[in-house]
Amino acid sequence: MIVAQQIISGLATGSLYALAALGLVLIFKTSDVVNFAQGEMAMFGTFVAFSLLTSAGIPYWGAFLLALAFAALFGAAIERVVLRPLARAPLISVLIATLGLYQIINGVAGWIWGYELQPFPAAVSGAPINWGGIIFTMQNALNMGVAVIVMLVFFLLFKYSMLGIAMRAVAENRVAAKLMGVPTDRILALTWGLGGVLAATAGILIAPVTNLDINMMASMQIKAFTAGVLGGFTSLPGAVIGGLTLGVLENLVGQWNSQLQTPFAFGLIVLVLVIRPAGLLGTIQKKKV
Amino acid sequence: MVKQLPALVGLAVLLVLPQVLGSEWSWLVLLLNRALIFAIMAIGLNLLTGFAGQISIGHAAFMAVGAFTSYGLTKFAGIPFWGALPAAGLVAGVVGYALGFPALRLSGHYLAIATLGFGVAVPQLLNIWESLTGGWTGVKPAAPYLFGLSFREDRPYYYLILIVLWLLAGMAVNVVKSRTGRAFVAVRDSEVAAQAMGISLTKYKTQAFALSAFYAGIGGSLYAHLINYISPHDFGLGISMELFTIICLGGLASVNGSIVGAVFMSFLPKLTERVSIALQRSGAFEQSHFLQNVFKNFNQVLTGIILILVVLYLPMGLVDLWRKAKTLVAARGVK
Repeated sequence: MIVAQQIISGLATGSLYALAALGLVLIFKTSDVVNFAQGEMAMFGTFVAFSLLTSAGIPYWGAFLLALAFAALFGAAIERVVLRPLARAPLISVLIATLGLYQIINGVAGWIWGYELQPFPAAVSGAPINWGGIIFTMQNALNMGVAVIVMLVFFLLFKYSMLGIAMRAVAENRVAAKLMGVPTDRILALTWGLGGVLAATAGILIAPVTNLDINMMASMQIKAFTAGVLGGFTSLPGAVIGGLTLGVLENLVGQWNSQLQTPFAFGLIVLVLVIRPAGLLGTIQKKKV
Repeated sequence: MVKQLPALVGLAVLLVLPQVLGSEWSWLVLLLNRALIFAIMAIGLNLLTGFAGQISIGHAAFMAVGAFTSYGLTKFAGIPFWGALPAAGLVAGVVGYALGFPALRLSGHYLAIATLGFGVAVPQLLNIWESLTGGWTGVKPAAPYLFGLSFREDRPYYYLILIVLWLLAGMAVNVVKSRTGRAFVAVRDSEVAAQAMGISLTKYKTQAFALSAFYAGIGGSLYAHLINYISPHDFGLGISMELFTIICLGGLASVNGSIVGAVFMSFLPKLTERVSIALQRSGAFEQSHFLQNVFKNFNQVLTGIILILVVLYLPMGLVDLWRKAKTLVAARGVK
């Protein structure tokens, strides 16, 4: 029974990792950029929601939606200002740029909102479900539900909608996509906007658990990377499965020594990348010479 | 001779500087010490990232390994500092060599993610090993004695660091010119082409990791015995990011750039601190909570802005400014 409870708690934590990983995978899939600032975008969006809730007094769901709208513009603006001029730059330049963004967003958030830990309200409240001795909170159920729904929506969008096909075309070959009449710049801005929305969603759902402060995503980000790598980094269902798997495994390791959780995540990254670089559900991208 | 003139002048300034400065400038000597230690580590990181093209954004982990190796050897094994210093480099080098093997299968983004994980995991693992590292409370490495000389003061220590920097920078320059250095560059520019020319990726990538970690380990040892207080969490992502910023700002694939970048990044916090103190005296902070917050964390944002500006407008780093200035002067001369 203890193991069952551990697994359920692991799934609850894992769904947070999955949420954080989905935005990473979406942006990587289309624009080939591993966004090291993704966690900070999530944190910033959450702070915007927090301000709307506390200072402006807007009700929860209103603040949630407004924060998502802000995050979309924020993501698109980052693409336009920083990433687009680097379209032809080598990989390391893009990487440096997202690390720079990480520093800036984190620092500016501290300027605006200070450095204290703030409590953040949960999206849902209510008595936890007690299912034969296994306890499951409404918040956990919501997190997992949102992770699965977001994954499904974007999976279908990628597979069947015109937008999704355009995104895949941009990912496959930017020049060819442009020649086929795909507005690549707009698609990339849109991808980053959606990535921003996913980041803010993750942040707002994670904040009640971690509490709100500028470094709330620091360890979450490593876990999101691990979840992404585990799932293959190009697969949205992979990110969710990776997140849940990591949550469960980590919780079982944490039983033994809670300080080993992050080293464990690192070990898992290395192990997966060495044994199966494509992850559980990813596809290997072969490089043309 | 003329070609080496700037380097000679720079060396002369570095040699004389601490002697010329009065005792009210002792903070400057300490800052220089830190800058030169970071220069050593940045040269190592640059060998890995700038020359061999392998990204590491968890490099402070190697520094931590070096720092605690050096502490452990001097404290528990009774080995003097001059033995512990190279040993710290070697142990870090072995760890780097070991990390090189999984890194073989990775490139680009994946390597960045894996090294990031490594950089976070190592301080946590060291934190668990409390008998050596003291955990959260940390430990106090003693100031070194060399040949009966005490290096408790910052000034003698400065010359010690300078000698190590000189030796290791010279080694880096020679490695870069050697067969190994050319192999690094070939691997960076195209792995497939390098392999086609008979360059073993396994050999050179693991070598690059080991060499780079060796530099970081030496830096960690020097840092530990300079600061005299270390704990595992001092070697977190902040330091890794600073090292990464140093080589990007100074210039990738440039030994000089690493030194310039390290000095720049070490003095930047002091500069903003001065501005902040001046503003505080003028009373600007009393009116604005925002301004207070800004100066609590000004460097971080500035670092981020520098990174992005460098990537957008100066991809070859600060050393490129020097090169550009030289060609400009040369062009004038022709006229």
